[in-house]
Order: sequence, then structure tokens, then C-alpha cells
Amino acid sequence: MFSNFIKTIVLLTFYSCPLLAKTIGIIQVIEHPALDATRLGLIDTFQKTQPDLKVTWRSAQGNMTTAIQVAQAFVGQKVDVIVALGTTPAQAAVKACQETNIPVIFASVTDPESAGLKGKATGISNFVDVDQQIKSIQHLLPSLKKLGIIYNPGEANSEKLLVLTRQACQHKGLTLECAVALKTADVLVAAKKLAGKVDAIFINNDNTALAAFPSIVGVADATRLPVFASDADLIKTGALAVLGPDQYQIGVQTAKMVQKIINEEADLQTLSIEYPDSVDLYINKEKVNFLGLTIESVLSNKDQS
Amino acid sequence: MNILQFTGAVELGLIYSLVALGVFLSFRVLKFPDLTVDGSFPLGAAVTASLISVGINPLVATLVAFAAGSVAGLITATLFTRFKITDLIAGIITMTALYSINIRVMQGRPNLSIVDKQTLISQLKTLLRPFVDSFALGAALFILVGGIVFLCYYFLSSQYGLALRATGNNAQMARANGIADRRMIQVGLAVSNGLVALGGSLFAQESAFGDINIGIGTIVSGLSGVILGEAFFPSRRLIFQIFACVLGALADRFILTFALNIDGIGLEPTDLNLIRAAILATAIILSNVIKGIKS
Repeated sequence: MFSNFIKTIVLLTFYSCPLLAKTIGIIQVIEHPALDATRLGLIDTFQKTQPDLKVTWRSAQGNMTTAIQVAQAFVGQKVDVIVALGTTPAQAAVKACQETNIPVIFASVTDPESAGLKGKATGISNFVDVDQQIKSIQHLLPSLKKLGIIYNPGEANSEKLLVLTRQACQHKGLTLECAVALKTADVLVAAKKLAGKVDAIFINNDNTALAAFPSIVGVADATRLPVFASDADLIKTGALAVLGPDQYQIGVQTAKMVQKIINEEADLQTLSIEYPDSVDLYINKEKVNFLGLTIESVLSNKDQS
Repeated sequence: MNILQFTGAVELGLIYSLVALGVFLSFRVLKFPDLTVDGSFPLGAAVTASLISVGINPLVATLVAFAAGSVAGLITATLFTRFKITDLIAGIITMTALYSINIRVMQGRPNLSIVDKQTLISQLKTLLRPFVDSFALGAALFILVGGIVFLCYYFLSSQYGLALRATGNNAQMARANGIADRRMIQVGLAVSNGLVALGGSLFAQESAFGDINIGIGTIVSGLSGVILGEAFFPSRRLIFQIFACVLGALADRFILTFALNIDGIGLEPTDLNLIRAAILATAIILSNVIKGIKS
């Protein structure tokens, strides 16, 4: 049995298929709506503009070691570009490509600098100006005093945004009430903890809270609490207003960056890290009526950032 | 599978063989189902990343990681022996607490990059490069892990190790023969979690970052390493059992590599863990069938 096992390994080791068309490897850290939308934007753009590109995507299904092995697999297949969705796969890809000339393009990374990606990879940071977000929230809810936030301290993106949100709130004279959710199952409890204490809930790009967004909306609706978010897709799931990028568009923007590298042979070092193109204020009119607010004034002079 | 995937699987397999050894020590030698490892693996990574990021020598950082893991194991053992908390719950308590502790260890951050810093592995790599070129990383890990495995064997085959194994086999009998069985559980779990933390430490140095979430599924990886090893090399001799842990951990990594390379037949990228589980089950069932035929 074991000798066969070894034979199989040896056979498979030296088997690799020759490639003609340019290939893109996508590593996604975990499946959740926002990242899925970004991936869709990426793949759709490639299919529309360059159908000859060979695009493969793999999900690490939340496991960091798997992310490393996916990165190694792509490097071994000699893909032309690796696209990493999320902070840890970007770090894993940079490490795997260290001694090759395969460029790494990331998306959905809030703080590329502390992740050690600056100068080694480039891409689209999903960072949205927090001051601007808090300003819009105050604009919509002038009576706001206490803002609640649900976040997972285990996410590099979230932890960075929490620090910035705290600063922005101090700056604008608001009290920030935090509730921690280490996993999606904790989000409901966190939302209930906030419900009695705050005037509004703000979810700022936390993967854990985003994945359980419907449960937050459920609690908020029961107590007539407005929920703000930073991701355009969440208007459909019941956020009152969103100042943030459209995740699908981030995918499109990432694809354009990848194409600069494969079609125009642009050097990674010359492409600086970009921020989302389309950051817009989206308002859910149904929710406005449900909460009995009047936001017509705001709608007429929409904040563009 | 290509050559880079092959070497990558070997490298990660060697790192995870330390986890498998740690799990073997607790689950098999001491018969103590210890779940602390899901916390002590990232603890080793956190300690190492944190110390290296502030400029401490990587070797010192690695040794401190081992010590930190040992302390975690000691806490679980103490909860069990002194405070009579069930083994599983004792491990869960420590593991849960370690999540927050690991974030504190990493200077309050969930992810700490050491990408521009020298690590034990990068130093060894530079040293070995003239001799083995592209296999330098694998060779570096082979030396490190080989050394640790040898020390582990040396420890378990000593008088002290024998007492440890006797405790796992029959605690009452061991006590009747003058072995301090509670002490043995404390030492055993300390060494076990020290090994797992060493694995985490090497993981952080190899991948150039520490992350709070790398602990998810450590116990599963460790156990599947142990069980795969036993399936392929059933033996009662200690040296083979230790060897089986290493090979089992390697096999576990190769299973994932195979799963990543299976394309077509209507499979989606999201089916990865399903494919992985199917291969794992098939491997163990096959080995059982073969054993059945032999006997």
C-alpha cells in the first residue's frame, strides 16, 4: 500500500501541464458575501475583456495553512499574477512569491502597511475615510449621541478600523460603545447587548459582523434602531445607510490593475496602492420610512467623498 | 502537483509534525484528550512574531515560544490534577483564554508581520543555500524538526519518559510503583504544548507573520497526523511511533495538496474541505482493509 502511495506522489510531483494563455490565480481567505462579490467583479471583468485569460480561484475555507498551500500551488503552476482577497492570503502569497517574479495584487486589505505588504505587493485597499463616515452618520441622525459598533478583535482589518472609529467619535463628540463577536454565532448576542444602550449601530467592514448582518438587522428592527454600514451591498439586507465602496466594483478595479500588469507589462513598483473608486452614500428609503426619519434634505445634497 | 507544491507540503508537514508529536504525547502516551493545542500553536507564533518584531534574537524568541507553550500545558494540567476539572474542559478553558492572551502578546493586534526581519529559518536557509539550493528551506526545517524529534525520542526513552508512559498506561499501577502520576501529567502536557508552540513558532517564522486565526483546526491537523501515521505504520515500538507521527503529518499535508489539485467532475473550489475529508476517510479505510487481509 505504502509503496503505491509513494509512487503516486512521485508521479504527480513531476506532472505539470504546459500553459499557453496567461493565467491568474485567485486566493480567497473565506467565503462570505462581500468577498464573493469582489471575486465576481474580478472574474466578470476578465471574462468580458479578455476571455482568453485562464482564471482559477481557490478558497482557503478560513484556514491559514491552506492559504499558504494554495499560494505555493499557484507559484508552482507559474501563474502570471496572484490575486489575494484578504490580509492573510496576501501575506502568504507575498511569502510564496518571494524568490519568483510573480506579482501579487491584493484586494480587501484595510491596512497594507502594517500587514507588511507595502513595496512587496500592490492592490486595492478597502479603506474608507472613517471621519467622513461618522460625519455622514451624524448628518442623517443629528440627535445621535451613542454609537454602537460590533467587531472581531481577531481581524486585522477590524482592529485598525476600530482605533480610527474611536478617534473619529472622540473628535465629533460621540460616545462609542463596543461589542465583541469572535465568531458569527456571537453577533446576535453582541447586537442585543448594544440594543438597549445606543442610538445607532455601525458596522465597519468587519467580516464576522458582516456575515451575520441579518441577525443585527433583526435585533435593530425590533428596537427601531438604525444600522449603518460601510458596504453598499448591505442596503439590500437592511442597513439604513451606507457610505462605502461597492464590493463588486472593487473587484472590477482590481481586475483593471491586474490587466495593467499582464497587458502593459507595468512594473509592480510603479503601481501604487489604490483606494476604492466609487465610494458613495446609499440610503435605504424603506428603512427611512420604517424608522420615521426625514432624510429628504440629505438626499438632495448627497455627500460625495 | 508540481515540485513547488511538493516541497511546500513537505515544509508545512515538517512543521505540523511537531503538532502531531505534541498531540501523540497527550492523546496517546498520557491518554489525555488535550484541546489546549488550538491555543498553544498560535501562542508560539504570537510570542515569536512579537519578540522578533522588537528585535530579539530569533533563537531566543523560539525558545521563549517553547516555554510559553509549556506554561499553557502546565495550566491545563493543573486545572485537571489540582482542581479536578475534567480533561476536555480543562483544555477548553486554557484554549479559550489563550485567544485573548495571544492578541495581547502580539501588542494588541490580531496580525503581526515580520516580513523584513531575520528569522531562525531564514538564517539557516542562507547557511544551507550553497549546498542544497532551492531545497534550503526544506533542509533547514528538516534539521530543526529532526533535532526536536530526536530530543523528543531521547526524552521519552529515558527513565523519566518511561514513568510518563507508565502513567498513561495505568495511573494506579504507576502510583503503586512510586511514580508521581500528577507530576507526570503536568510534565507531559508541558512538553506536549511546548512542542506544539514550537510548531507555531516555526510556522510564524516560515510564513513571516503571526496571526490569531492560525490556531483554528490545529487539533484536527495534529490528530489526523497521528491517526494517519498509525494507519500506515502500526507499531508498538516508540521510535516507530514517533516516526509515524512525522510521516502522518506529512501525509495530512499531501492530502490537502491532492485536494487542491483535483479539478473537474463538477467540483467547485468551495468543495475543498469535502474532498479533503473524503481522501482522509478513504486512506484510513484502505489501511484498515489491508490490515484485515493481512491478519
